[in-house]
Amino acid sequence: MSPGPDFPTGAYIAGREGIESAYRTGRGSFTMRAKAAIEAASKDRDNIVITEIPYQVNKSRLIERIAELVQTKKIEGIADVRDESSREGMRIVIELKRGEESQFILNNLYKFTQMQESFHMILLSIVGGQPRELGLIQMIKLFIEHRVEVVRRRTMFELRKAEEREHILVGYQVALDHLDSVIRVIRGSASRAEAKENLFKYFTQQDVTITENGKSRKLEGVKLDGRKYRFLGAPEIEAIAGANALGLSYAQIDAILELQLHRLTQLSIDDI
Amino acid sequence: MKELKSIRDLIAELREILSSDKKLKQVITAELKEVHKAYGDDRRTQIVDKGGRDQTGRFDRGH
Repeated sequence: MSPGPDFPTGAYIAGREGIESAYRTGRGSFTMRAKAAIEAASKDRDNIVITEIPYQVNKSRLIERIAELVQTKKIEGIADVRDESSREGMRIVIELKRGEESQFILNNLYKFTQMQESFHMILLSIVGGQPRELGLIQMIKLFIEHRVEVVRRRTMFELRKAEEREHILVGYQVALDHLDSVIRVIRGSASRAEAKENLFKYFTQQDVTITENGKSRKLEGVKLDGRKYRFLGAPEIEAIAGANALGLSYAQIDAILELQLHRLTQLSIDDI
Repeated sequence: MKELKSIRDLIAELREILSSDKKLKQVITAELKEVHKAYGDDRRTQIVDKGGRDQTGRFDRGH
C-alpha cells in the first residue's frame, strides 16, 4: 500500500530494507540510483545514457565529476560525455571507447559518482509539542486522531451556526403566523428600540401599550403554541417568563425588524 | 418553509456525525479521497531489489 518515498526526479530506490525500517521505527536509509541504459552506438561501441538522477544531485556537477574521473584515470574507457538534455527531459550520454565493457564502467560510475546516493529517513513529528520519531502505523494513527478532532470541532461549529439560523427562521415563522399583530405593535411603537421591547413583551404574554390614532391602547400578549414551534430557548426569555417559556429572543426580533417587505410575498414565505 | 426544512436536515446530519464515531470516520474518509483525487499523482521513483532486475527488465547493478 505504501511502497516508499517518491521523488520528483524519478530514478530508482534499490532495496526495501531501509524503507521498511523507517516505516517500522522512524529511521532508516536506502540507496538511490540514476536511471541509466546501455545503448549500442555501433557494433563494437556502447553509450551509457542517463535519463534520471537521484534527488538533489546537481546535473552539471555530476558531469564535471565524470570528466574528472576520466582525467585522473580513475575510470578508463570513456571517450566523451555530452549533455543532450532538452525540454523533453534529461539525457546525459557517456560515449565509451571501442570494445569497452560497458557494465563494468557503469558499475564504477555508480560507485564513484552521485549516480548512486545514500538517503536517510527520519520520520520526525511534533506530537503534543514534543518532537518524536514515529513509525508509519503510529504516524497514521496520530494523523487520524488529529483529523477526528478537526472534523469534530468543525462540525460543532457548523452545527452551532445552523442552529442559530434555525432559531432566526423559527422567529420568521412566528412573525408570519402573527403578521397583523406584529405590524400593529411596530406601527404603535415610538422607535425601533421600543418596537423591539414591545414585540418581546407581546410574545412572552405580557401586556403591551401601543399608540393608535394618537391614543394609547393596551394590547394583550399572545401565548405561543409550543407544539407548533421549536425553540432554542434564550436567557432573556427565561429571565422574564421562567425556564422552558416560549417567546421570541432579541436576536429573532432584530431579524424580524430587518425583514424587507418583499419577503411577505407568497413565494418568499415559501422560501423561509 | 424550504429553508427551515433544509436547515433542519443539516442539523440532523451534523448531530449524527457528532454522535456516531462511524459516521465521523466516513466524513474523514470521504475528505481524504477528495484530497487524493485533487493532488494524487503517479509514482516517479521505482523501487527495485538490490542488484536485481527492475520492472523494465533492465539490469540494475549491485554495489
